[in-house]
Amino acid sequence: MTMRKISISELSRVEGIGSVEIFIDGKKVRDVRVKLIEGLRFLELIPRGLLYKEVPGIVSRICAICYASHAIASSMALEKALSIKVDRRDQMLRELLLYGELLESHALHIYFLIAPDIYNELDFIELYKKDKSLVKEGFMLVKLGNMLREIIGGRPIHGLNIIPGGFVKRPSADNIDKVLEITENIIESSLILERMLKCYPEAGPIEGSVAIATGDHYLYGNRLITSTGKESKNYRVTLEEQTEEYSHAKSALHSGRPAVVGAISRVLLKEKFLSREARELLNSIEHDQKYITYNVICQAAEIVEALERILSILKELSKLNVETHIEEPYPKKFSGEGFGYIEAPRGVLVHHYLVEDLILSKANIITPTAINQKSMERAVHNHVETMIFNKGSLNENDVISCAEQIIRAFDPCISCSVHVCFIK
Amino acid sequence: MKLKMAIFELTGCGGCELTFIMLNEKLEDILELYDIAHFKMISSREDLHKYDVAVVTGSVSTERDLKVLESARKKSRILLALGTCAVHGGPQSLILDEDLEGALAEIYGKKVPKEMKIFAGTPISEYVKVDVEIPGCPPESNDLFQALVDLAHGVVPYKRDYPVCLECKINETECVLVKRGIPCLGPITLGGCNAVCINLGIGCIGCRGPLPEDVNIPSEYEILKSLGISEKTIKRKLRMFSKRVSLNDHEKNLYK
Repeated sequence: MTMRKISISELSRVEGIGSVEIFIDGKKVRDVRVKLIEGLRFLELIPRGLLYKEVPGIVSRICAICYASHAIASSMALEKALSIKVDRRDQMLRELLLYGELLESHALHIYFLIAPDIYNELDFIELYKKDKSLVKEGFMLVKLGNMLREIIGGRPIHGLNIIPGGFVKRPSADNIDKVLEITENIIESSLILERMLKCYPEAGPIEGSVAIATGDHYLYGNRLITSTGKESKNYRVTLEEQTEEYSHAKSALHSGRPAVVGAISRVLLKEKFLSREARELLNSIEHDQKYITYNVICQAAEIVEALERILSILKELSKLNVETHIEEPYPKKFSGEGFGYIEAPRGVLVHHYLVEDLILSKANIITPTAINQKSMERAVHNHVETMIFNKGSLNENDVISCAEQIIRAFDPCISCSVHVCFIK
Repeated sequence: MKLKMAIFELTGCGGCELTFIMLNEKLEDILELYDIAHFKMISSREDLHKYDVAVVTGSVSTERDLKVLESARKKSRILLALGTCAVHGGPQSLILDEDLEGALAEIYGKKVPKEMKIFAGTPISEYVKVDVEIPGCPPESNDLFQALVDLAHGVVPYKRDYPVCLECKINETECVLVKRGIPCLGPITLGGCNAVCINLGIGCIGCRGPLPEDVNIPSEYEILKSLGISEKTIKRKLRMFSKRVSLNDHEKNLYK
């Protein structure tokens, strides 16, 4: 029997440019290739030669949806390399910013990219004609996330306020109070989110994939932890990078097995950090954890979590005198090497730098989507094989729409993924 | 009748597309004027015939990008370049054609991807005629809104021609370059951002690209040099967002 090839030339409703090829031989799926084919942006090479302080603002250009996560991971790596201290208020502001970005990114994903699948529409514009309140809820959450990115990061997209040591300028007390009021209003209104996701179908088995997350804190840490129990302070112990000739992103494995990062891994490995409200949402939706679609349920729980955390950090900040003069960052060393591990909305993000005489000499960045690449292939592979087993024959359109939905559930960010680079 | 708009993504960070979504309430006004015929990042609809306005984001960095761009040009009446990558090439355009092989070897080692031809990042105007340019990293969402409204009413969108410096004058901000010796590309960079970074207290990094004409690069170069910054770092700073900044000599290997 001849090999059958089903391809998706360009995935829709995902960030960046990617395609998929599925090779089927009789009742067996021979191979699945997820090709992340966005052009290269060379963002590990470009900031070399810049003063350390200027690096976060350039590397954050990797991705608009999670620019603050990149800038903070970058700052953390530089702080380790040069022994720079961060004030407690700035640490709180960073957490607030990360929760704001988590809210913005997850809301974009669920309301604008996933919701059309649930209601069988082509996009949110069609969905809006049917259900205005749902789309408006999405806009409201994205807007709050972007306000936090603006007042703390300096701009909703690619703000330059995030530097090693903290920030150039802290947000004004007025802005803190304004966002606090908006957050309180959103928390008081009840979200449609939970009701919508009760109808979200399970797909894309990921058994066998190793969940990876940062240890210590919910959104950052000094080490990487895994579902196999192994943990390490050195990402090169946890992640093995490899090049595929068909993809512009390097993929990563853990002990030879595909890895999975993102909301699903955070919830599986760090559920104890979550608030009561977030756990209530998780418990109210029945969805098997062995499918990647559970990632979307976890994102919904993290939206609830982000709102709660944003509220409590803002309340605490409004009692402190935030708007004080900030000292210039003071590096105790002029040269060094450092890692920064952040939970970007889509999962573990690693920035690794070498600095010589305060000038960046080498950079290595590993992004969540590059880590998830092999699990995406595995999930599509297993799902299509089950489809063949259950139905006998395959309708090409069914395979395509299923594969798209599975990959979408990972929330891939292809723009981020094509910048992976080795330090030799 | 509504006009037909398509949004095409080449190589970029997704920020220009996000700017579109961040029109928020104003998006409703745009959707009164336009039908979206194609917008891969947010929609599964495929209407690949003819468009009144094609918005192109990102640089040409692959064979696929070039094909998409050429087809967008053929099928549309007006082509709008959105964002610094589309207008000026973006950060990726620091790597030139002659640097490409070395840069790829640094990233991938010996196993370079063969799926498609990889180009050095290039502004789209090097390949096709561009009717409207809205630079910015990210572009200002008001600029995008105004341009789309203008085009729908048959008006040529307003084109800025003043530097970021003018906005500091209007804001009565003390000059960070002259008074505090902070490197700032404000004098050569197109305004429109309300000098957002200088308001924070840091210098402009030139993310909106150079002024369309009368831009005095040699003078900026000399000022930065007088601050004690190395020539190589200055060149890299000047070229960080735009391939259109010409440095004349030794542009090769700026990334090394």
